[in-house]
Amino acid sequence: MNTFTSDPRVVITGLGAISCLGTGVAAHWDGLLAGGGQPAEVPLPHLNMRTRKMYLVDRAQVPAKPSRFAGLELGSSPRLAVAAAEQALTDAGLEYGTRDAVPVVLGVELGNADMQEIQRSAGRTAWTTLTPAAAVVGAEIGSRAPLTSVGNACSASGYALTIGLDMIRAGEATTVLVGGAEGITRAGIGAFNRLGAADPVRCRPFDRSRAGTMFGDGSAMIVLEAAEHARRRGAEPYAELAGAAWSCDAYHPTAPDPSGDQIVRAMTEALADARLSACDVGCVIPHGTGTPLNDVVESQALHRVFGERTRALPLFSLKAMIGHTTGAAGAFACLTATLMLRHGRSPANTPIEQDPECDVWVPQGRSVPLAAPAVLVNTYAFGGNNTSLVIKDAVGEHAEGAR
Amino acid sequence: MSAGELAVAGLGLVAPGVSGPEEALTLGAEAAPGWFRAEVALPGRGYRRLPDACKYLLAASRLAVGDAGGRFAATERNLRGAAVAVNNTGAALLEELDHIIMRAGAEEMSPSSSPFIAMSSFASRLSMEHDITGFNLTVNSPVTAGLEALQIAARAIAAGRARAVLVGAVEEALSPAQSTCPGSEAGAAVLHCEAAVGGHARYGTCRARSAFLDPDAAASNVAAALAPLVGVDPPGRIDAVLDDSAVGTAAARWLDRLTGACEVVLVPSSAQAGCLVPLRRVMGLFAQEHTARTRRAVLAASAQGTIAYAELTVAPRRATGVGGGDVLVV
Repeated sequence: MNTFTSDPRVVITGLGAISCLGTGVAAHWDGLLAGGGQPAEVPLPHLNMRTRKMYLVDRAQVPAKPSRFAGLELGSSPRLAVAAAEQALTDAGLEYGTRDAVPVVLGVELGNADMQEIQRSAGRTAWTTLTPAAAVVGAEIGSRAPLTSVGNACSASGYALTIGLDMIRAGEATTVLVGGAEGITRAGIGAFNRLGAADPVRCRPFDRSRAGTMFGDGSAMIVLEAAEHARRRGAEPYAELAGAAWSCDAYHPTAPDPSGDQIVRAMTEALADARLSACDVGCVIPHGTGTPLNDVVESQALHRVFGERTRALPLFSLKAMIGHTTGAAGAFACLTATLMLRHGRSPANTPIEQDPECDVWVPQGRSVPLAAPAVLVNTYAFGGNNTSLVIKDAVGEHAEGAR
Repeated sequence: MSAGELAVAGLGLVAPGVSGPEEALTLGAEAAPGWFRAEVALPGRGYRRLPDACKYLLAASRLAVGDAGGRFAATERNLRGAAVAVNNTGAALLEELDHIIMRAGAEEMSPSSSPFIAMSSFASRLSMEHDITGFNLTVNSPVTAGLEALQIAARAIAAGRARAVLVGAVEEALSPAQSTCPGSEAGAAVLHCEAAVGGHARYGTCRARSAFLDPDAAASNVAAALAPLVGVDPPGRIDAVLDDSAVGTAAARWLDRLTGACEVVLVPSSAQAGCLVPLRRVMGLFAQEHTARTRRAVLAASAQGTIAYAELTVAPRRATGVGGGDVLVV
């Protein structure tokens, strides 16, 4: 149980991000308001496939260090993770030397793949771990606490956020660094090309011409903290991570269950965990990848959760602006939801020609004020592994609690 | 018993050179061709095109679920979960697929193999096999992921996300070109776990904890990392899966101080070790016969600094009674 029994809430007190939109949380928000990033050619050798683009971090902004860790050569993913982690902890006011009890929970799937692929192209074949990022971050921030590396593909950091939430609620930690990081990957893009799930134009969820997804690289990091702990040290929360739920389709290795039953259950149980109802949700950041069936099934599931209100409920299609950041997608969505609550609005979506089968509201041309205090985030993955998260406005409640 | 504790109700092991959990403590044998017979372990349709590691995991899960006597199927599907550890699983396949891209192009990749570039795909198949709709979680910290899966399962059960969780680890041999150490791990271990309170602790209970030890400061920080994990009252035996890295060496030296207080069984590990051996040790210790409740532990550490410790209370039992049933001794 949370040792802070007088206030069991878990709040968000620090944010860090690097993506195609730039370095830092301000660059992320400004980039969303400016309409998002543009795909670019992936700088990997032997990229023998039809679609070779991603939403890329400006290569000049990919940190050069740490380049090695415990004998491993590091690719871009762990380096991006370290930079975003440092941003988030500094943002939370947790300087080096105060972080030894901070666990790290990361969503990382193909983490160090780019380093391996570059080595493979050069004839170096020895295998090293794909997933050193959590340990690299732990060492760089000065943690001695448990590290967890979650590999649930495109929902990995949705699971990571829930684990961080559960750790604080159970009283295992007062503060947890949670996030995700993914680099570039030839094998990953190749597989999506082969599966007919790589859009050659851009990432355009809910568009009638969508032809799959398009990846993005980067890292998003979030500091979760017991609300009372934050209050005692004078940290102002951005928002509350109010609820989370998991489910699994148990239906198909890659395709979603067309019934949507389990994603409806995840959304419903996340709202119940947050002690909120559907009418408390002011915006949804859908999983919305641009793969044809996913977007239809998710649209239909949203109707089952939100009923007639769905057509007036704004969706923010984040992947259209930063690509599908796979293992980091849930962390980027949670970070974006937090910024929406901070600014009180959802940015205008990237223009699309909407698929009538996706009967949801994707507001374009203007930002939309949030009409309710919570944002719902969905993350789904291969194997039908689903998470839903509820991020809630904490402004006001915190000040009241402080009195 | 408390919220962080699991009851272990069933065991399933598939590995070269062993016939079951009672042999799990034998050091890993080389995976000779033909050691795993899928047609025997997984009769039925729909398995032929799966990668070998996926078959190992499914076969071990069937054994664990069967060993627990139908308790998994009796659990409501939304309260069934899976927490599976992977490290090197899929490495050889990933190399093969990447070589196809490099030489012939992505269009020549096998569509049935392509989803397995995501290593969580190996674990996801468990959900279809056992109708698991609660959750299916994959963890991948080097070496320690199997023990961390126990910790995650306990936390998830305590949070009400499941009542019964299949906790597993699966590994597949690296390709000859990838391998720099002899004897890469192959096989799968699965434990059927439930809440310690109200669950069926047929084999006993366990609790896992973890920590991080910066490899650059391993010698100076090892006591601060390990002492809280092991506690002031160590069990009668600790199986320590350690390599010769700075972290492994520091941990082995720290364990020396326990000489006389408990038996430390050093299980040599390698720079390319996966996460199967530590969970095999847990399984092997649970499968041992004791006439009284017995405390045991497994410690594992990676060169990258992840450390995990699983504390077991092994239930008094004989491995198999007449007619295949358990016989409680006390």
